[in-house]
Amino acid sequence: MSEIPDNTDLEYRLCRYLDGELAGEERTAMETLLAERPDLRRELERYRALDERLTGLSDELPGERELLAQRGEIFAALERKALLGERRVRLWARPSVRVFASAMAAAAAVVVAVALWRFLTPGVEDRSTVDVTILPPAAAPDGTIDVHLAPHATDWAAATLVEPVDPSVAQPPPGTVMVSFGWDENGDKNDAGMFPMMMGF
Amino acid sequence: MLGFCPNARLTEVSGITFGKAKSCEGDDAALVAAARGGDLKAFDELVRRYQRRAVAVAYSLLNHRDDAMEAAQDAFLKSFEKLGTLSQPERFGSWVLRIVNNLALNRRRSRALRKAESLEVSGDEDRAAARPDPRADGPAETVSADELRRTIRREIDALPPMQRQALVLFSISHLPQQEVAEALGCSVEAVKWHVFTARKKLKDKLKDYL
Repeated sequence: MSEIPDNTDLEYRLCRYLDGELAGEERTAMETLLAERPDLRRELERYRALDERLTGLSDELPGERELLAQRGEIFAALERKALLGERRVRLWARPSVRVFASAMAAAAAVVVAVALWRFLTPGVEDRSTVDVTILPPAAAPDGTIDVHLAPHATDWAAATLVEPVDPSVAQPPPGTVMVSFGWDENGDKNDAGMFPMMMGF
Repeated sequence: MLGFCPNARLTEVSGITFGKAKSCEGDDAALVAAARGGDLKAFDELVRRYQRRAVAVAYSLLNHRDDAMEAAQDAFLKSFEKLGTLSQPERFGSWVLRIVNNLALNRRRSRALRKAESLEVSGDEDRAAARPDPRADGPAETVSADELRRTIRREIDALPPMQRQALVLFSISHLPQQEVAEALGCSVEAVKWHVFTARKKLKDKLKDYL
């Protein structure tokens, strides 16, 4: 730094002397000068007085207790931040939460898909038209057959009885036929997608 | 050496240690590495090491204790967030002091702006109050200690930035010249020169009081 003077600057050396930085010959030379020159002694006293005034300002700096309290605040702030961040991240890291969330997401997807499917399928009345599989008589020796309802025939509460199928007219062969039927809200409803229907063959 | 432990709980949540330190000794690089791994106690030790210097640096710019404390605290919190970007962990000290310096400078600028907007009415009143009474025998006898303190602080505040900071850090905060040099990012010789120049100016400005 070009600004910095060498030690020939008397006042600069005086300050260094005050700070205890002069040693050996330099220190002896300064003490000799101070002994010879009252003006220099006066300057030294002014610098010393200034230093005392400046040191007096140090009581405005925080003491050890305040610094300790501040460290406590910093630590607490970091702890809070770490814990909050941890909770945010760790919640998803837990297997149970992950499984639960995945199941919920899958269920939500199914609900959305069903809703879309029902929205897109034509006509509410069609819901009472179901595909049934009529088992051959051999499978129902007592004359009772099982009608296997197709999965989409679930809107029983809204269905109304149209007309039972007359098997003597329809003469449905064994196998899959279309049967229109329904129930009113007070009528019997199957409870598991299976409904016994008397049919003559 | 065991540092500050405000909460003596011994819990660990996913590698973040609260309570007893994993590493409260060792150099800054080791502490930074531990802090990066979530060891808050290691970071607390870093704060303990540089806190006084950080507050002193902030005070040298802001000349106000509470503002200095806030600036230092903000700097430590910010440094924790940015620990991952510190390329030379062994230089954590000078890095955090630079952060303090920047935050304090921003505060100083904001404050100057606010002061300018308020037309400095109170400042003029302060100056009038601190001015020695010409009818009195001498300023040293008539100016109260508080007024003299305000005068000195005002003169310090009027010094060029490097001189002011060097003087406050060395002569008021009593930091060693080497630490002042590190805080200001200059050589020890430069610190000596800045302190000397500041002292000389103050001595001349305050000659009636010394």
